[in-house]
Amino acid sequence: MSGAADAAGSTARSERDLRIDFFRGLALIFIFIDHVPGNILSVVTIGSFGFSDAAEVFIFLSGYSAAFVYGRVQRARGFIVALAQIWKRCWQLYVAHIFLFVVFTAEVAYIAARFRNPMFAEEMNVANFLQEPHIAVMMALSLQFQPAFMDILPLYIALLLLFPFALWGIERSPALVLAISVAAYVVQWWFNFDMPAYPEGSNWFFNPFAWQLLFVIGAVIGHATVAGRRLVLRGWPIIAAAGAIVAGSLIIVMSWKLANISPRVPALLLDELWPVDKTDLALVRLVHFLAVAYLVAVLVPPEHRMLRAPAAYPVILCGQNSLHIFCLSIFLCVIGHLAVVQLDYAFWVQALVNGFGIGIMMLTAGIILVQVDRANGKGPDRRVNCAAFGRELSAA
Amino acid sequence: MTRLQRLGIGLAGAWLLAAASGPALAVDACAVPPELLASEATLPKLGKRVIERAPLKVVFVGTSYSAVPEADKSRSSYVGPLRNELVRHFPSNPVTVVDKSVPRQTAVQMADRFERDVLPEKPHLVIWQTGTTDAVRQVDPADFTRVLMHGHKLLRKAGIELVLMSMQYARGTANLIRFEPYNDALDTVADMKGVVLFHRHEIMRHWVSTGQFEFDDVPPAEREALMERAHGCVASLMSRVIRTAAR
Repeated sequence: MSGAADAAGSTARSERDLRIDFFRGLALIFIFIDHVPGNILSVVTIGSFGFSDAAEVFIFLSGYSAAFVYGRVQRARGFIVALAQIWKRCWQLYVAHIFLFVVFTAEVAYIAARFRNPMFAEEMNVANFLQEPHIAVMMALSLQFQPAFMDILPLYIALLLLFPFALWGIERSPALVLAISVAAYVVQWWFNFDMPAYPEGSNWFFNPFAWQLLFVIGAVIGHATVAGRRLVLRGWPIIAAAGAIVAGSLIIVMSWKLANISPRVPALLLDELWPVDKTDLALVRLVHFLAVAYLVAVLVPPEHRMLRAPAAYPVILCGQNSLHIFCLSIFLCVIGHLAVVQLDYAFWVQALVNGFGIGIMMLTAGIILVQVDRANGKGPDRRVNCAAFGRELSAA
Repeated sequence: MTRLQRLGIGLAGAWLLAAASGPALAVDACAVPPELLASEATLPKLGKRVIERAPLKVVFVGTSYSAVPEADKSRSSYVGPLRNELVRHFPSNPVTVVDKSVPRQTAVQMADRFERDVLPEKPHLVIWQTGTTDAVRQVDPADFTRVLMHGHKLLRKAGIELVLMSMQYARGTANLIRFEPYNDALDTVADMKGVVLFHRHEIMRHWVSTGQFEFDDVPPAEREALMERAHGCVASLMSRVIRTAAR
């Protein structure tokens, strides 16, 4: 977690695996891109090349870095201190969730009051919660009300809330925690267990019983790094298998897209694999993501040149401040969505929304860095990075 | 590139074309680019009945506001206008349209009613308008996809042909509701199962973007007339899609 970096001081940051920050930052940018409706840029995001998308990257790396950072805190200062720090993060996410709820409510109330078109009576049921604010507010406070764009934060909050206990277990027996996590995934899959939400009849978009597995896998690997163990096996047979999974997924997903355009292209395995369930983290999504993550971990060394490039730095900054940037990006999604719809999906609006949205995310990450530097005293290595970031900005 | 993006490019092209050819195209208030009405899928059984001058029975399943008292029906739904269109275009076939809509139902709730409400009617064609409530309630898009396939299977077993119909579009509602996953699901199921899909969502989006229709800032006095006009257009384009598929 980025925030722990400011708690642990600048030394923690310099020892960080830059790959984690880079890919987490990239996932945040991709999540933003994928949430702008009809976004042309979404052809370059990970979701276009296989079954899993940026949500998997984000949850996995969040688990990894949570264990990496708080695992150290737990070793050095004990369970209670780690718990307090994790829950502080959790609280910040919760506040962000409530802020977004207020934004959404303002939007719905405004549109519902102006938009009284009887043709759309069915659609305006989305505003029904305004009729019972005493219930709707309670449901939002208890994470059960998850309107558009407000679905991934509750998952993250729920995962962090229970994470101190998982971390305590991982310190003692990672295998046992992993076994419990897999069991929970299998049980929800077997019994089709969902997390109920408000209004009645709806469910959490991200089923926490399924998605916790990815967070825990990330945490177990992140914790192994702290403990000085190497979990990731290397060897050509494994690399070949992961490569085959990634390539196979690419071919299948491409065939689906092409079949949509031309009837002459067969949609491979569509009957068997479609729909690829995101809510319950379908097994194909999980397997595809793990194969991608394995390949990246093995083929991109932590000291790779790409990670030191000036262009990578703003992305790394976003990843290092992921909590703030994540909350900000969801807010920017809401604004961007509004702009794109109001201006009828015009190409120039999409370009502006993408440019401004990603720019504001990077700039904010830069401002946070400067502010943390002021508070902690500056380290020379980071001043170099700041200069690189400045060059990047002036080049853009 | 997703369907939506392809459509975006198509619509941009259509807009340029409309702008270039001037008022000629503006005559028809319902006009949309032909690709929005195109479908690979056909309705061979219905086509055969049309040629045989046999009676045509259509059951409509949706959430439209058509389940209101009989007196208001004609004005508050496109089911009445659709019936008139079909009667006009199939003069040799006795046409019956039965409306089995129930407001606020999800696809699951509608498919659950097929056995009881739809099959006993022994229709030749079912028009299934769905996705709105699912999008409003944010039903798992994968579950939505599965129930579309299940509903299609139920009807196919009974030898009934199906036309799917997507959700409405207005800027106001598109800001509050995430329609994309449900639209994609309808699209994929239609592609996969060879079902005719009436792209109401994209059609209305086209109208909004060209200014043919404005649904957002409508003065109260004009709302009813607008609804009638829009439903008339939906009915007329829908009947065109059915006629083309039943050739």
